[in-house]
Amino acid sequence: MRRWGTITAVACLLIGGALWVVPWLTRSREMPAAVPSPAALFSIELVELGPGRTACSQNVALDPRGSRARLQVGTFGRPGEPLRLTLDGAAYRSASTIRGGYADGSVVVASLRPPARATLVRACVENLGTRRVALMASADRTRSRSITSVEGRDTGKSAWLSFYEADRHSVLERSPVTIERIATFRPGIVGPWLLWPLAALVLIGIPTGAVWAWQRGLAVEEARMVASASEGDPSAHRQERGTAGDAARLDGGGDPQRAAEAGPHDKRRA
Amino acid sequence: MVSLTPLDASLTPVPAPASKRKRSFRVQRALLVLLIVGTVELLAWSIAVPALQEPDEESHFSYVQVIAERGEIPWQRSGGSPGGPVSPEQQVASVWAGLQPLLANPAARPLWTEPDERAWRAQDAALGRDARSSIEPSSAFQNPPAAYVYDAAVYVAVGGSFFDRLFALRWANLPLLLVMLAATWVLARDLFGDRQGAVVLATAVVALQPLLTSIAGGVTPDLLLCALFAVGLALSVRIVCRGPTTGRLVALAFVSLLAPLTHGRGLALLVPAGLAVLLSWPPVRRIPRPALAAGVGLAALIVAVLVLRYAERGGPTLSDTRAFSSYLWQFYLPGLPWMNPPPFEGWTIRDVYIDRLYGTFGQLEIMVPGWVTNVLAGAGLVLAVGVLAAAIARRDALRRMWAPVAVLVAAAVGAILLLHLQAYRSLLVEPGDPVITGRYLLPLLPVLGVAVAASLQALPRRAFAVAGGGVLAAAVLLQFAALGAMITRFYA
Repeated sequence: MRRWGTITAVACLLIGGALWVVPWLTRSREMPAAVPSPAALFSIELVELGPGRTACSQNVALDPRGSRARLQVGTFGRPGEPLRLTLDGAAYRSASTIRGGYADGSVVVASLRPPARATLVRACVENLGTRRVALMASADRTRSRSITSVEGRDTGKSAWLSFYEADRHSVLERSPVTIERIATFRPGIVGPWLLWPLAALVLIGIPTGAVWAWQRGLAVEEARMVASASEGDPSAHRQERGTAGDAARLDGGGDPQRAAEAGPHDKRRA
Repeated sequence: MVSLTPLDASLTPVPAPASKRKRSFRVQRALLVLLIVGTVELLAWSIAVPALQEPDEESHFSYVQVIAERGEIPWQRSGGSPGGPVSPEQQVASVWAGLQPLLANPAARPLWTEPDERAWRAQDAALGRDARSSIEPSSAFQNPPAAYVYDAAVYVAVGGSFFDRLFALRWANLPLLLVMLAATWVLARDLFGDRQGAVVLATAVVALQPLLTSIAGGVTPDLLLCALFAVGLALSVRIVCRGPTTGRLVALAFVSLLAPLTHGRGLALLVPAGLAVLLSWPPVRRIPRPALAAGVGLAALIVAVLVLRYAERGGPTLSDTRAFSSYLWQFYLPGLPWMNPPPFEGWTIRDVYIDRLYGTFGQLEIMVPGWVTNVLAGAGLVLAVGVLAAAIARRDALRRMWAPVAVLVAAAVGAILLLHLQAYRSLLVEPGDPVITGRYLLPLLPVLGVAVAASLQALPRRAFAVAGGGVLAAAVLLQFAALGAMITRFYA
């Protein structure tokens, strides 16, 4: 019984792991490097930019892996105007141009030179065209700390801005980075030294522990069944003691209840 | 005490100790391993999910903060908005750590760079003296205070930054989770006796439930409620199986009173606890059956009238009772031609018992793939049929075990009925929120674990081992699916 139960559990886990867990870990996907100002959840606001005007957002965190900036731009039904994205931080500056002609409401992407290490920058978008455009923005609770101003005037909105990696990566490839990111805004005790073993415990410890507990339960049950079936057979008693008496003693005392559970054969405790 | 006889390889109560020797605490290794599994899961969820992203976590934290910082319990009849004004300290963390835009927003990711943390620290350091104590009421303030008092002790003991205290509160749920798992084990052992495979399976179904471990990873009163429910159920079953000792009765009274002081939903624990005490009370067993049936019928009628009066906000009238029955019917079964649509149309058993209980996490934006919940819906039907088949196949055993089974059924029916009553009452004035959701069912997980194990252990032993192995593996994979969905949502 124990063998069948264990084999089934292990086989199901291996099949499930191969079909589900491994593909999830290894599938390449677009990886965000930082999302300083996410898209809104409830209502879309607009930050209008006339020709030659510039909108800037402060306190934008930029990660060294972020080499593609994404904005969403409204064009009032006409082809989009060219824009310039400038990122300014301590010992870091990047400027890139977005060509005109994009569709109304589309996400536009600007390539940029990533910084050597994570840094806070001021992100500015300048309208290089001759017609107005509008940056999609948030003013509800999805508004970020990076409030956008136009020509120095506070709009009370945060224009959507995110940074993505240039290439696609899998969750497995990015696991060291993910571990570092999880440790941010956590108590000091949470660091890679804790998170790596925890990740291993999750991936290996949970299935192993569950299957071990299951086979242990079946083993105890099997031993009691054998003991009950062969009442008076001393070898069965020994087998029962060897397997059923697996309770970990915390105080070293005897337990009449467990002795009763073990059946009338276990004369040591009953 | 209800007389119970050890049964033939089925629902077998553990015999009472032969003598009153010195007690010892011995923990089965299988249980120890399941407790370690639960610990790993709680740590994984609590650490990986960014702060304030679990359900209503911001208002639960506010409640704890009021108790800890102002030394007062803000329990009140009507609360403010769900995300009512929090302390300046929490507000700064919400904005400068990017937690507020992250709430339920799949387009957002947490801020995760070192400069982000430095920027928050600078803002936090600039806060004034009232930064932790200036708090307005939120909806959580309607909850009774037991869980928050427990958390406040942890809050005060830990100190440190906002994130130090918040994560300490999350980890303070660990003992509660372990108590819940251990109580489930005790409950299952009292029911299954020597069938330790069934005991392990019942406990594993609880230990691996992804929503439980997800909720346990946040600041919430739900976990204390779950632990109290599990202990209350284990005590109730033990009382009907082995008799009411003073210790058991005192312990049951304690958890039954503490549960409603933890959350209003804790009132439901009074149903199985009361039934257990009633069934184990010797004078009740001496009452002739017709008189007992008449008494139970009269009590049920009075309770039904009171319950309907509560749900219908007055009455009860025939038309309102018909509307309530129609709501209840259409929650579980397709509507019949003469029925009016329920107040919140389309919110059914599938949404609550499957999609919300097993398929959504965090602010409901973390979801496992749709095919998983479809498979689970099928598995739920199989389980229902399995329980029915097991009950028929083992009817003799069931007849001898009627008392503990009645207690568990009463616990499930009582808790679910209470949810429906509260939901219907609320829907009458605010039809936009169905109220009843998956996490409200978490206190009943021990009953689910026992039901799964009981239905499988009616099979021949080898079939039980095979089916149980499959269920166990599925439970592990479900936990992985949920963890994977959470990691993808926040970090990929």
